Order: sequence, then C-alpha cells, then structure tokens
Amino acid sequence: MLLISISVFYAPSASAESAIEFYYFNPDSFQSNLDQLKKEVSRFLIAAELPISFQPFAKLRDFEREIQKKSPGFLFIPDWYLQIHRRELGLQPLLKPLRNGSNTYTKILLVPEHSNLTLINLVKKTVAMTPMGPNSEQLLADILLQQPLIATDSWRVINTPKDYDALMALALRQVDAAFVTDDNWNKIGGINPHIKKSLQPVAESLPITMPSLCSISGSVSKMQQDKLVHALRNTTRESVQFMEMLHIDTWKTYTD
Amino acid sequence: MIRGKLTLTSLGIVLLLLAVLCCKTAQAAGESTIGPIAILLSDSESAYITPVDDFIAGVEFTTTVYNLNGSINSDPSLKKNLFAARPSLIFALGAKAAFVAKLWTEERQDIPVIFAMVLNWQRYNFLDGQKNITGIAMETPPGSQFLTLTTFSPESKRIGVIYSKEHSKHFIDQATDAAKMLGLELIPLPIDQSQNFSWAYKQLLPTIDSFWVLNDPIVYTLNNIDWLKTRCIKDRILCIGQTENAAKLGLLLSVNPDYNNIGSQAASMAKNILLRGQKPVEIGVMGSLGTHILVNKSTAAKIDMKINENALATATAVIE
Repeated sequence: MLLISISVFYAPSASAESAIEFYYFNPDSFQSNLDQLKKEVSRFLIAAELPISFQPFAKLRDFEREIQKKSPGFLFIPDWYLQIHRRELGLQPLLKPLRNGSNTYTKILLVPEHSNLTLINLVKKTVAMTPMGPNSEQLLADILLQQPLIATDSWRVINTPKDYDALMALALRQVDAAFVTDDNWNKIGGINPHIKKSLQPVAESLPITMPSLCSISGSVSKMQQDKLVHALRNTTRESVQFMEMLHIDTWKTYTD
Repeated sequence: MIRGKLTLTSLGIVLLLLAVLCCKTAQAAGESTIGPIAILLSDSESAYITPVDDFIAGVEFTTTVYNLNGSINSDPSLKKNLFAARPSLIFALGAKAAFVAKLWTEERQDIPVIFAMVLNWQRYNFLDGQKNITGIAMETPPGSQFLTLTTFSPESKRIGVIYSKEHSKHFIDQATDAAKMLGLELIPLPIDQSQNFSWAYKQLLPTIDSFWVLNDPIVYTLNNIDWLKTRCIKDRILCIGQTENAAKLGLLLSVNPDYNNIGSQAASMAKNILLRGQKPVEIGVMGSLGTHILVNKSTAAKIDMKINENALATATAVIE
C-alpha cells in the first residue's frame, strides 16, 4: 500500500506540458532574416518560461501545410488570412500590434520615375507584390478603391517573397510597378538612394489592419493564452527585442 | 386580352431565362477552354520537387506531370500523351525538358512554354525562332547583385570583376548595362587561366571600391577564393559573390536566387499568360525575382565596415 502511494505521488503527470507550436507568417514584414527572428523570439519565450516553440514561415504554402499537419496553439498572421480562415480554423484573435499608436499600415503603388503610369492606366502592366491570399485581386480593388472602375483584376501580378524583391524588380525594370508597404518603402528607400531616386509613388491604399496574434480554439487553454499575452505585454528586454524585430511599439487587446 | 398579355409576359420571362442560361453557358465554356497545364520534367531531380509543388499550388488549374527520365527517347509515347491532353501551357524544368518543349511546339506555337531550372539558359537559344517561349533564369540578375551591394555600401561606385571571355562574355555585357542603369561603373578584366586571378585582382585594385566574384569556372576556384577572402580583408574592400558559398567562405556578401520561389514565380507568369492575355514574347526571360542574401558579419567587422541595421534586416541569413 505504501509502495502504491509513493508511485502514485511520483507518477509523471498525465498532462505534463509539451511544447505548444507558435507559427508566424508575415510577408509584409521588413524583417527578412527569419533565423534571427526565431532566435530572438525563442529567447523571449525561454525568458518568459513558456513551453512554446516558435516557427516562422517565408512561404504561405509551407505555413498552411504545417497547420494541416499539426494545429498550432498560436499564430501571428496577416489580417487577410484571419478574415478568410477565421471560422474554418476557429481562430481567436488575442492581441494586435501598434506602431506609432496605430494598428494599420498602408501599401504604396510605385512606378519608375518619369513614368506616366498611374493607378488608372496600369491595365495589362506587371505588378510585383507579396501574396495577399487567394482573393488578392478583390482585396486589391478594395484597398485601392479610389475609383470603382479600376480593373485591378487585369493587372499582371507577379508574386515576390518579400517587398525588397518587389522593389528590386521595379528598380531593375523587370516589372512595370511594385506594391509595397509604406514602412518598407521608407526603410529601403532610406538605405538605398538609387531605389529611392528611381521610383515614384503614385497611389496609396486604404489603411490595412496589421497582422495579429491569434490562438486556435481548443488548441490551448485560457490559462496558456493568458500566459503568452501577459508575457508579451510585460516590458522585459526580450519582449522589447521581439517587438523591435516586428517593428511595433506595443500590443493591445484585440477587439473587433 | 388579359390571357394574351399573360402569354406575352410568360414568353418574355422564358426568353429572358434562356438568355441568362446562354450567357452562363458561354461564360463557363470560355473558362473551360483553358485546358490542363503540362509539367515536363527533364528527370527525377529532387531539386524540381519544390518548384513543381509550388507551381501546382499557385496556378489553380489542372496539371499533369510528365517525365523525360533523362532522355527524349525514354518514352516514345510521351509526346503523343502530352498533346492528347490538349495542354494550355507547358512548364518545363531543366534543360532537356526546355529543349524538348521548344522542339515539340515548333509547329504548335499557340501553346506557351515557361522554362525554369536551366543553368546558363543563353547557351541553348531557347527564344530563337519561336514566340511562344518564356522562362526564368536560374541566375540572379547582375543588377540585383549590384543593387544589394549598394544597399550595404551606398558609397560603392566602381565594381571590379574578373572573368573569362570563353564562359562569361555575354554575362559581363549584361552586367555592364545593369551597372550603367544604376549609375555604377563595372570595371571588367578578362583572364584565360585561373592562376592569373591574383595578378588581375592587383591590376584592378587601384581603380575599384568593391569587387564582384563571378561563378566563372576559370575564376571561381577554391584557391582563388581562399586567396581573395584574405585580400578583401587586407585591402578593406567589399567583396560580393553569386553563391551562398562565397559568403560562407569569407566574402562579405552573396546574393543568389531564392530557388524556393521559382515555382511561385512561374505560376504567376502562367496565370498572366492564360488569364490576362500576356504573350511569352513580351516577357522574354525573367530573372529570378526572389533573392537569398547572405551577409558575413565577421568579415564586415574585419574590414571595419559598419552595417546599417535596416540593411541587415534585408538579409535572409547572417553569418555571425
């Protein structure tokens, strides 16, 4: 009886925490070095004593394939992905990032300097941009909606993995236009004078909601959600470094 | 009278319904005229797997994969089977598949061909004599390399390069144009033997502020790179290479194609051709738009080069 009691006391917990997966997909991010991002986030998670394994993805296809294989506990995803898959995946938004007090950004349509291309006459021209999902043409029409008759579905879109590639393609005249975030345009233009000089902005999108931190219903407990949220909102050296990599200032509770 | 009105109204409704049905049928017929896409592989090279998967995921059309298994003669029925499926486009991977696709569509130039994963595509004259061929070059365009160089070193203006006329003349011509477009000066010096590399470098050194290493078999030898990485540090000059290995071996920077993006890029091109009316002859051969940028921070420190944090964020990988 004593032996049984001891073995019950020392029996390993049936619900011992194994690592929860945290997947990241953010094609509009300025941060191209996903290895570095993974290191910094892992450092943050270890410091916060969270049993979470962070995995960033450069490609949507890889991201979606891994979600199918094993449902992660947490996701950091573009807003268009949240809107499309919210119900199907049971996505529960937890936090939204803020930059300069705002939860939105815009994308800029750029063409070569001295070009007479505008938003109106881009029909049948090639446009380099990062993917915006399966409904990208409709989304383009929505966020660039300044004149209802703009036929964005007649743009010849070439997807690039990151904004830097889209800007290079335009600077080298491999495409007719590029559609990149305002933040990336300012940053890359700021470090490469030729890119800045050789391109001109001709249109700006409506505000786009920034990516958000979500969990998948049923994948993690409320307590686990609260732990991560608390750790992110707590100002530590590691959480600040994480925010710097995402180029955000703070987090705010997600409200629709 | 009322019965007549009802009859006319009913007839009108029927005609209207018929008209709507006809329009929908015509629309469906238009969409269904885009036939399946044929994916033609040179062989079972594992490097083709990702581009094929990404292409299939990106095009949203029916696709069928055909494999030459290394030889045009390995399956005599392959051509017949491919054309029997009435492909709307052929995506050809590897030099053999690209060559065969060109050959087979010589009399069927209504079928566009996109080729990819072909080293030095210019050797094969794929575009000559046919207007239905387009492709993605496997090499990063020289302009992309120079632009990345100026991202990390905005003050660089004169780029030295050593090459062999036998292997790289055409590429150097292209590079010279690209440099000019970017307001830079490319200063090339040809050699015909590997052992002349160090001599050529010393000739160039007084006239340049950065150096570009080509994947030229006469230039790119282990001995030359080993020697060069030491000289780049001693001379405090930014050296950039075309392959990841160049940065791993000690050069400061390398820019090479993001091979993981080639399938997606081909899918975008296929959709533009099939759905947006773009013609292959309008495209020509595109450079690989996705780039993989590798920075060697250790080398940067040795030449006292401070790397801008924003520039560093554009790198896809960093060697500490």
